[in-house]
Amino acid sequence: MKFFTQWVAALRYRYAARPKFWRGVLFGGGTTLLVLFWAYVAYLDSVVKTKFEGKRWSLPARVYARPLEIFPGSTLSLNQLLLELSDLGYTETTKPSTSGSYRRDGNALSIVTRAFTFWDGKEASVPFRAIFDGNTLVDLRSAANDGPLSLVRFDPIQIGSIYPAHHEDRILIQLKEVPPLLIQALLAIEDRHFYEHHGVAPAAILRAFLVNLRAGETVQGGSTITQQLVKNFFLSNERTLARKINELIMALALEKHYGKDEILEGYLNEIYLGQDGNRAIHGFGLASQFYFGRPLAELKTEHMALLVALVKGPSFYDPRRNKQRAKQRRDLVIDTLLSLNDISPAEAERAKKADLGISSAGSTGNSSFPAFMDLVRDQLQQDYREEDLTSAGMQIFTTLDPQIQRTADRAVETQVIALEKYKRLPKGKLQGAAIVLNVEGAEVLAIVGGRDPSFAGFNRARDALRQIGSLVKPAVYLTALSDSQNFTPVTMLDDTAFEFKGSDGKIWSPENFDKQEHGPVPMYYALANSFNISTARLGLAIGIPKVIDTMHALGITRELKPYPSLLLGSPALTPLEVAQMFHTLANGGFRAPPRTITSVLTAEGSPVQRYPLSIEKAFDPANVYQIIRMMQNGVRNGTGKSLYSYVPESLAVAGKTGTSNDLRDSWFAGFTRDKLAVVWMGMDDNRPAKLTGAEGSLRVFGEIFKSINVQPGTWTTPENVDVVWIDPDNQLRADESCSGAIELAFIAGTAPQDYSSCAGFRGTVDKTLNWFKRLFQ
Amino acid sequence: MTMFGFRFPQSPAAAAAKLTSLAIAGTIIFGCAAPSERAGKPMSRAEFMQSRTASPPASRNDDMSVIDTLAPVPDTSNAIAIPQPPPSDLPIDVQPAQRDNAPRRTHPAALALLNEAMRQEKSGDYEMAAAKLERALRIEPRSALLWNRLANIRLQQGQRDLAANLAAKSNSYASNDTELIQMNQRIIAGSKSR
Repeated sequence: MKFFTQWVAALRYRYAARPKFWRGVLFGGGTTLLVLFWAYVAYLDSVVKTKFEGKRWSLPARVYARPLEIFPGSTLSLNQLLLELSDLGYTETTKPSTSGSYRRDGNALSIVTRAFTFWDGKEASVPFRAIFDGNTLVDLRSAANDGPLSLVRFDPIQIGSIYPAHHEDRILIQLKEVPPLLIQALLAIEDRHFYEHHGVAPAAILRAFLVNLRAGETVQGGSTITQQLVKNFFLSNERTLARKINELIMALALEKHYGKDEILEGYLNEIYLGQDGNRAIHGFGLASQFYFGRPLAELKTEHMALLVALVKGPSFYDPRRNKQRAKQRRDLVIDTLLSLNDISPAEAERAKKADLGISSAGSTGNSSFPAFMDLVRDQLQQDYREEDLTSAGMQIFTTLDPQIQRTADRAVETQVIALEKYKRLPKGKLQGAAIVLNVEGAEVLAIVGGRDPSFAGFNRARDALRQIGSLVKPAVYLTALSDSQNFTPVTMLDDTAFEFKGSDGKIWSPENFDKQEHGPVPMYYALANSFNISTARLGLAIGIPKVIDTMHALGITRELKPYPSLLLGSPALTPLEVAQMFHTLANGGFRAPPRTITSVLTAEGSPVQRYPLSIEKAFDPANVYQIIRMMQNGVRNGTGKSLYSYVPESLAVAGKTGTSNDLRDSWFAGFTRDKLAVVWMGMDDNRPAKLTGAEGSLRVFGEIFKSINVQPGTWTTPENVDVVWIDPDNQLRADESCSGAIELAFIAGTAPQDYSSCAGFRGTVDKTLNWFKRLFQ
Repeated sequence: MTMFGFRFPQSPAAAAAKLTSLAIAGTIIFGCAAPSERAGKPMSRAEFMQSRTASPPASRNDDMSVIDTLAPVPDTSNAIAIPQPPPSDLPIDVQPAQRDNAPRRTHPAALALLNEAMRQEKSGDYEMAAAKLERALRIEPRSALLWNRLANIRLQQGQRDLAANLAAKSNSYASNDTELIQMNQRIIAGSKSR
């Protein structure tokens, strides 16, 4: 630097009196500058070309809920379907003819579905009429020819996206999908001479200036669509002269290389139109979903006008926050369309009267179901690169049932608050988690990670390790029943206190919850009432390692230490692990890993991967059936009794309450033929929640199963199993007429032979028959 | 699978499964199936149809109409009046009246999917067929028939263990349907005899 200044000083001295020389320098310098300028222009030109030609946008993966499938005989009420339609953003009209519209007539719905591509093929748009009777869809008919339909599949609700770091989100659209009126409105407001200029329109800038001056506010912008695209696409937000010059050069370059339609399409996809938390809403395709909950093709004049109004300032005119402002600018767009004869005066009148039509759901990206999305992300990260997930626009199809999810969210939230009050617990501390699965497919239908369903933080259903307490007992009893030579549901256990000296020399002496001893008790009774002493004695007799084997076979992969306390539920598991364990029981002894994703498609709809249903037989279905019968009895007559104040007895719920030491954890795990749920309640800091399983989690389970569609009825009895009535007073055979008699399952030939005195006539007949049988044996 | 210049990973397991199924198909085509494989040999569609059909098999095999998803399907068990074509139009015997044990009843919606699945199975599109069957199972989860068909598809794909597990599942709903139980037993035996 020093050298340079000396050199310049020397030159100055040498050529001080030579003006001719200076002219030469000026000329040479000018040429050099010009060359440099052109080089710069060429550079910008190549920037424009590379970016515009290459992968223009990174598209986040889209995550969908299960598509609703309906058929004659579906357990589905009209209101439930209406909820689904509202989630899908279908429009109510008087005459549904376009896809995504419907009409209600008393107990019937006329609907036109949207076309959609699934893993197993394309679903066309179908116009149909569904008739309901209470909770059942009784008739399904094509609206085209009145013929009966056997099955209709809706498009799925989008429940989230997986973003790249910059949080830009968009739904790509093609120019031909965009309603012409939207383009007319956009050009009318933003760039009337778009199809005439070369990227920059000096006259337009002047005209805009004059128009705005007259209107007293900014009605037109001076920048062309091309300039705006360049600005959004390539440049930062700073307002400097250099940036403006770059913008002009790049706009001209863009126009030189690409056609108007291509530029317009780019603009429609690129432009920033709103903010959803940290997610930036780009392009009209996503904006339409974000503001109105439906695709662009289904928008009306007033919706399109609002989107165009937003271009100028998505935050300033945010229709969710600044209704009045947004409406004013929307109406201005409508007036402009009217003045250009793009719409009729009547249509303008109607559109201006219409309200903004902003959907309440609003968000399709920042998931309203963060706990479920956690599981989806877990699975995806095993199989895909982050880069592909955030940029390739993959479509992820999941098992989530939004209606059940909402029910479960609500149940946890309301019960947690109610119980806090009732038990005088510190406010805001009690937590809860829940998981709902369907039984046959092991599909996760809903998952609640905490009391605040929208909070995307600690996911207790997946990550909270909590002692499972009595939830371990079915595993202990199943281990025993697997030895059918020695154990049946009526095998007598000893429920008197004992001391067990462990290998470490410590004395273990379990107590019952009620601090009582109950003497000799049959197995089913000990399980139903969750007795600790008799269960511990049973577990020690059959061997702790065997019980651990059973737990592993039920699906627990975590290491389990063979301490005697394991028999009473000292291991800590997550609610998700507990769900896996009970699912294996509900599924008749077939283990299946819970699934959240069913399939993955590319952005264009071609299949990438499927996550098929996979099951593994882990137990003899007969023994599992015995346990299910015992757990049903536990709900009917044992610790789960209060459940039937929520749901009808016809559901025949098989369930188990769980309570850990000092009432730190409240659990309930239960299932019907088709659905399973596990609920946990407790404090994050592990302080006592003062709730037993029945006082806490059972209520949430009850609230959920009260509201969702559950199939009543019992399981298919396996071939080698006899279901018999037992008199609880003496564990002998009974019949329905015996008071308090319960139905239990026995491996063929192991049921008690003798009848209790209460078993009137049938008992006598059978007794006689037995007598004869023995006579001839 | 390439898109935007990105390759999607194909799982090695899927590739292996494909190879295995090719190998099995090869063995069957060239007629040199090992004795041990016969026990678990997948039933051909025709065989399956025969075993499911009440009417004489010869008249049916070549003329199997496939019911479209949205086409009406007759069902005597349903309370809803759907016009009933003569029973002979039914590709599969699922009429409860023809069996004394109830589980054979298949819902029309599930039946429509089953038919599509069988069409796809026939054209070798096994995974597509499996997807259809899984949808059918969502509608009719305790259908021994559907579980059996899924087991058959997995067997044809060479996934013998999964096939055996699915067949066992089918058995748990089969009640006294001896035919179906026998078919399932063959699949289970096939997986064990390796």
